This record gives sequence, structure tokens and C-alpha cells, in this order.
Amino acid sequence: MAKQPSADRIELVYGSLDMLILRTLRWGPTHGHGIAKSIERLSEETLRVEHGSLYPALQRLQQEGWISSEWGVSQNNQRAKYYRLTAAGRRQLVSETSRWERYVRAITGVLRPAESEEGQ
Amino acid sequence: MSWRREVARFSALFRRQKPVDDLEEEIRAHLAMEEQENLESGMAPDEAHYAALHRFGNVTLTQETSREMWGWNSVQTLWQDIRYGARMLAKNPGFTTAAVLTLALGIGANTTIFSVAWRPMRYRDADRLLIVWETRPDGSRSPVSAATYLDWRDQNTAFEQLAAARSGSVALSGTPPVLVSGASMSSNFFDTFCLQPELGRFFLPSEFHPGGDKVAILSHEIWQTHFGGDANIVGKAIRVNGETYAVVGVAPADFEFFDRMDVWTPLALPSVGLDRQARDLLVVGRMKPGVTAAKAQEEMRTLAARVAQESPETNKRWRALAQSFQEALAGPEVRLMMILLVTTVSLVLFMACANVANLLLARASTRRKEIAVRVALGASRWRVMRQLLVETFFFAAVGTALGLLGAYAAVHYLATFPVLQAPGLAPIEINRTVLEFAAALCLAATVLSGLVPAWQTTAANLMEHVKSAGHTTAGDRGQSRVRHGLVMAELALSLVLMVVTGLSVRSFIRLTQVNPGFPSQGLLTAHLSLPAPQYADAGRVRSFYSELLAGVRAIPGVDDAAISTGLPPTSSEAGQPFRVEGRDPASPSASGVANYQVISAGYFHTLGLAVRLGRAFTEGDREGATPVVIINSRLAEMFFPAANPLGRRLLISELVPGRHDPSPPVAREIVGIVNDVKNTRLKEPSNPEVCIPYSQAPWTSEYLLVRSRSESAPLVAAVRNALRAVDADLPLTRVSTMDERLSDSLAGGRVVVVLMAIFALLALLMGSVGLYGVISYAVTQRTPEFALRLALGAPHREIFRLVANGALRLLLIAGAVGVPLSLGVARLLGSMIFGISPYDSLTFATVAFVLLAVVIAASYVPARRATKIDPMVALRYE
Repeated sequence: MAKQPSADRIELVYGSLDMLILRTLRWGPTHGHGIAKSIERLSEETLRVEHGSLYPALQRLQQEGWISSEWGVSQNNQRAKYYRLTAAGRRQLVSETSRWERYVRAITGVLRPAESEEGQ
Repeated sequence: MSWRREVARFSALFRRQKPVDDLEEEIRAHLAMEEQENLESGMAPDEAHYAALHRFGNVTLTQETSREMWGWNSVQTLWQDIRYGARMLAKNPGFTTAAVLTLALGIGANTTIFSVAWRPMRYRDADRLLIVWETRPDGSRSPVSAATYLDWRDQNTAFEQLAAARSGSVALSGTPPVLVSGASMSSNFFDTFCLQPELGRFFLPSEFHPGGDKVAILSHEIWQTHFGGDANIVGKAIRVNGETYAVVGVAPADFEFFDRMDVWTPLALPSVGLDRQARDLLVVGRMKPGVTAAKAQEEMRTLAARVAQESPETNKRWRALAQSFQEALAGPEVRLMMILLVTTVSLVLFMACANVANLLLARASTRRKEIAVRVALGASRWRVMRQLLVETFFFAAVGTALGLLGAYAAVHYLATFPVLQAPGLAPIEINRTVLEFAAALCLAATVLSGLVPAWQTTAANLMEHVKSAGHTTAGDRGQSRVRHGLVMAELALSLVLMVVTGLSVRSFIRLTQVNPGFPSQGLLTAHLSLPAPQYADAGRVRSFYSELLAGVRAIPGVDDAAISTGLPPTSSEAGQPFRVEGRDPASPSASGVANYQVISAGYFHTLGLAVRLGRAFTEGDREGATPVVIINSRLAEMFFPAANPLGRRLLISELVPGRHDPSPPVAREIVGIVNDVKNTRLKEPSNPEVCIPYSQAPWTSEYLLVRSRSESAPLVAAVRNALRAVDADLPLTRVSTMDERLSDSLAGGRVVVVLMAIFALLALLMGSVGLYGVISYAVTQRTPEFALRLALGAPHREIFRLVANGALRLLLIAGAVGVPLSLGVARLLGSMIFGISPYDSLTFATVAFVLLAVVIAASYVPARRATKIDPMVALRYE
């Protein structure tokens, strides 16, 4: 898959980084680097996420109790901190996802009539 | 931010280093993995490394943001601020001392007054307690009759408990025998106050019937002093008024009800045959939860009206008054005085804060550069303001500590003043509430003194200050205006305070000069209370007095001696109703209330009071002869304005010792009119008064009055001897001279006036210091100008005139605000000012003079300093 030129990448809407991290972790515990790569891959590289911005977010999520961490060994035999989703985190993910979907529906609803006008 | 995060952040404070290391390791691992991936996808090693870094973003920023997540930042920076502030303060000891002392004075004074004024009652939920009085047709309060009390108790719905007590003097035997206050109480009395006995128990229901009622409860204090704190006191027998009682319990310490009652006995009220006119009960009630005082008053009014309807001959137009317990004990004047004190001392605190604010503003201009640099390096305005506020907090904290020390001493001193004690209130002391108040003042002082300077100092256009040489810039003018404004406000407030104090002082002096109506020197007074069983017979009382008076008159050096039920300057609250014979009962001048005095024949002579018309009592006015009465001028002018009262008769119900049923009113012929004496407060006109010879209506509680030129100590001993000769068991109480009595009646006012004078002086001091600071600073700013003038040949007094003019302008503006304000306040005080007009010119003139002197003094030193400067040096410095 060709990498999108950086100019076309979109900044994340504020607050959605948490949601993306939680979603990523749903598939199993990962370390920080792995989370960054997952987000890049799944969004087909549309989303611009600086790897560095993940770490403060991971701290915050850990303080809220939605993820937990422990040290482990990565594939290339390096010490890495692995994060996993907690039960509370799972619940938070569900509620944030539904809120996001309602948000998207609302915006789309406002935009759609304009599209059909243009079509005429 | 959720609480969970708060907890995590807080616990992170204690493990500071590990997360930092962990994160570093994590970031390193992350970069290594990214680099590996880049290598695998074909980049050159260098390129792979930099691409990884580029993709990561700003490592330092990541670390810093994470650190903020851990929440150390605010605490760390706060700690930095505190250390920095402490260093700054240590570097400027003079400044620090000035600020700290100013705040110490303000906070200390306020804490002292708070501990005097804020004294909640000691009883549980004391604001639910009400005293219920009966009120006479003329509106004055009266104790309640037993019959009325019982009706109220059974019919009311507003009170959880309604209790009653009858007080009286009680002779406790022992060595020596003592006369104490005692009371009989209804069965629910202690329950009304939610009290538990300290020893033993309270009364049982069976003890409220005749036969079972020879039991007593002692007060804690009398148990300690008279019975030595005997641990086995419960069950012992004591002799009360000559009869044997068994002690069943001891009341808790510090329980007072209007007075400290030392012996409590059961009040046995028969349910029938009670007289509604024997009004001798004090009634207290605890309102039910949810009932307001207004509702309780409403209900008592209704109940009283019902009683008035049922027995009009005793209770027509008598009503009821429910008064808060605290107010009943204290009195309205006390409240006014407290308000005055609290207002004065709060103003002093404001002025202290204004002064400190001025100091901070002045110093801030020297720190401009430092602050500008900090802002340039990225400190937010809030951060810098916070640091300045922390410094201010230091002043306030140290000032509070010093102030508390001073307050502690002052409170100890004030607590010794008997006039400030009040029954039932918490004592004057530094307790937890007072300390909490002081802490609140500390915070308030920080904000009041520090906020405006901090705001001003961190204002925009700071770069100008970095560039300039540090002298006056445009920003300074705004600051000057604030400082001048503050000083003018202080001067105006000082003016008001000084005027109010000046009026109070003059008014108090006038009060001390009031003529009581008789020559007060050389008069000894004492009190006697004849206990009931021995003196139940009127004849016994009569012979006691005549023997005693004969014995005292025989003492060498005694001019005359007499007895009377009341002595100037105050008499009892209770007035006795009377009717004028032969007048239409409906007319207002047909009946009234008067001070009831039972006196001996020599009373007017002993007091030094002339009988204006008619005659004084003689030996002929004895039992069995025509009943006579002497009235005072006030009664004569109120009830006999046109006619001659001599020969007319008044119908007066009399007080008979030992009997609670009424005696029918006795028609007494007016045989004399005397001049008025002050028989109520010194500042009020006298009440009407009727005087009856004791031989015709003896009473068991009398004052002894002795006019003599002897020294008081041997005289008192001689009088006690004379008393012992008549009755060895009777104590002589409340011994003092008439002058002392008159002076004591003013004691309360004296304390308040002295305190106010101290605070006004403090306020003046603060205003002067503030003024001095502002003038001094202005002179420093204008030094180059003055140097130029001096170099051009201006005489020294020209400089002085310039400086003084500036100061005078401040004073004039302050006066323009302060004078109308003080006129307004003086008018509000109205009733508290005695003998002088609220617009008293002497007071205002003195205050103006003092302020003018202050202004001139405050200008003098800086101006002199300005003239001493070598013009060449000053100009070169520019």
C-alpha cells in the first residue's frame, strides 16, 4: 500500500485518540509502537498521528483505569511495555463508539441535503 | 478530570523518578522498533534512524506532556514559588517587617473583637430557646403567674417544652452561712436545656408534690466552693432557709439562667387556687423543630388573649412576649455596641490591607525587569501572579501568627472585665472557632492586599520596562492613580472613624458628668435579703429593720442610715401598677406603673434629697396609722400636671413577703413630693416612683444606705457588727460605695469607648503610614525636577510647599468623601450619642486639625530629604 503524501493526512479530531487506542487494544495487548502502527494501517494512513502524542494519552488512559500495563519482551527481544484493555476500558470503548456514531450520523444528516442540491 | 485520575496523580507524587525512567526506556524501545522496520523496508541506516525520529515527533515535548499528566507540575512549581518568595522576603527585611506588622495589627485586632462578639450560647441549639414574658398594658415585660403558665403549658403547640422557675435568695447554712441565688423549677426545666446531671440525678415526678419536695440540686460552682467538691454530696442533708433538704444531684458546670442559681428545688404548683396576679415565674421554652420564633410569638399572643378573656379582672390588656433567650439576657444596647466595635475594627483591617497593597505596588515597580524577563521566557500571567500572591501570603501568615499572639494577650485582659461577662454565653477565649476565623482573615488579607498589585504588576506592555532605564513610564501613572486612590480611601475612612470615636468619647464624658440627683460621695451601700421562714411575719421584719437602723446610726461617724428597695442609678425592672383615686378609670392619667420603693423614714435625708413639697415620713407613719405615700416629681408632672397632688390618694397593690396571693390595693394619701433621682439608666429621664414607709408595708429585700464621713473599711466592719448583733446568720452582700455603683453602671460603655479609641488611633496610624509611603515615593519620582528647581535657585520652602500641596490635595479629596460620610454615620448613631449634637463642631474641628497635622508631618520628612540632595548628583543620575 502506497503511503499517502503527508500533506493529505488529516489531523485527528480532539479526543478521538483515546477511542482509537482503546479500539486497537481490543484485539489484544500491544506495546506503544504496535498501537501506532495499527492505527496507521487501519486508517489506510489517512490519519496523521505523531507517535509521540500516543504516550501522554496512554498515561491518561492508564490513570483513568481503562488500560493496564506491564513490562514484557517484544519480537526483537527488546523490553517493551505492553498495554491491555481492562473491563472498565471495554465499557468505555462501547460508550465512546456509540457516541461517535451518533455524532457522525448527525453531521452527515446536515450535510446530505446540500449534496442532493448540488446534484440537481 | 475524574476522581480516579486525581488519586493517580496524587500517588504519583510519591514515586517521582521511576515513571520518568520507564518512559525513557519505552521511548527508546519505540524508536528502536521503528528504526528496525525502516531498515527492513529498505532504507539506509542513517535515513532509517532519522525517519524514525521524524515519525515520532518531538521527544522532549512528549516527555513534558507526560509529566504534566502525572500532575507534578503544579506542586513542584508551587514549592519553587514558596522558596523563591521566602528568599525575596529575607532580602528586604525592612519591607517585610512593615508589611507583616501592619497585617499583624489588623488581623490581631479583628481576632480579639471576634472572640468578644461571637459568643454563641453554651446550650444545645440555644437559638431554639425563647423566654416568654407576660406584658403589662403599658408594654413592659413582667414575670408570669403560675396559673397563666399552667394554661400556656397545657394549651400551646409551638413548644416542645415550656418550663418555669421562681427565683429567690436562699440562705445556706455552713461556716460561714452564705446567701445565694436559688430557684424552684418545674419538672421539665433541665430537659428544656437538654442537660444531664453531673452527679446524682435530677428530680423525680414524685418530688413535685408537697411532702416529697424537700430535695435540692446544687450548682457545680457552689458544690465546689461551699461544699468542697465533696464526692459523696449526693444523699447528704443541707439546711436551706433553716429547713433540711436532701441533695439529690449536682448540675453541670457553667449553667446559668439569668443569674447563677446555686440551689434548685422542685416547684410544686397546685392545679387550682392559683392567683393570676402573683407574677413571679420566669418561663423558658424550647421550640419544636420547624417552628419559627414568629410563629411561637403568634401563638403566645393568642393564648394570652384567651386568658385575658377568661379572667379580665386580672389580665385585661395583658399580653405575652416571646423573646430569644440570648436577647433577653443581653439587651439591645449591647448589640449596637458590638456592631459599632466590629465595624470599626473591620475598617482597620481594610486599611491595613490597603497599606500593604500600596507597599507591594511601590516595590513592584522595582521588580519590573525581573518579571518582564520571566514573561518573555514563557511564564504565563497566572504563573507570575501566583508567585506574587504566594509572597503576599507569607506576609499574611506571619502577620496572622503575630496578631494571634497579641490577640491572646488582649483576650486574657478583656476576659477579666466583669462587664463583658454575660450569663450563658461562651467565655471570651481563643478557641477553635476563633482560630478558624483568624485563618480565614489570613486568606482574605492575602487576596485583598495582593490581588490588585499582582494584577497591575503583570499587566501588558512589559517590554517597555525592559527597554527603559527603570524610571517613570506611562504604566506608572496608572499605578500611581491606584495608590493615590487607596491612600485617599484610607484617609476618608480614618476621618469617619475618628469622628465617630470623638463623638462617642465626648458623649461618654457627658454621661459621667450627669448629676444623679443627689450628692453621691460618702455613701455606703449594701444589700440584705431576709429569708422566708424566719421572716414570714411582718412584725418580725419591722422590728429587724428598726433595730438594725438604730444600731447603725449609733456607729460613731455615721450621719444617718436608711433602707430602700432600690438604689440609684438602676432600680428593678418591675414596676408596680397603681390607680389615682377619684379619676375616671378610662382616662389615661387614671392609672400607671411606678417604681415601688419601701423605705425608712430617714431615706431622703440619708440620700441628700430634698422633699420639694409636703413632708418626709415620720415615726407617726406606722402600722395602723393612715397609709401614706411619697411620690417623685416625675409622677407628679405626669399624673397631676395642673393640680396639687398633696392629699390625693393612690391605690397601690402591695408586695407582701411570703404571700403569692394578692393583697387588695391600699389607698394611700400623698403626703410629699421629692425631687427625681436617676432611677433607671443615667441617660434616661427618671421613672415615676412611689415610696412607702416600711413600717406600713415591710419588704424582705432591701438595700442599706449609710451616710458617713468615715473611711469605708472600718465603716463596713462596724456595720457588719451592728448587723450581727441583730441577726448572726444574715450576710451583708453587695457592699460598695454609691460612687462605685454609679461608675459601674457606666462600665460597659467605658470599655467600648476605650476600645474604639484604640482602633481609631490604629486607623489614624495606618492612614498616616500609607500617606507617608505615597508622598515619599512621589518625592523620589520627582527628585530630578526638584533638583533642577534647587539648582535654579528655588528656596527650600518652595520644595516643601510643592510636596505639601500634593499631600493636601489628597487630603481634600479624602475629606470631600469622608465628611459627608461621617455626617451620615453620626446621624445613624443618633440614640447612642448623649448630650451632644451628632454634628458637634468641636469633634469635627479636632479631627480636621489632627489630619492636617498628619499631612504636614508626612510631607515634611520626604521634602527635607529632597532638599538635601545635591542637585548635580540628582541630575547626573537621570
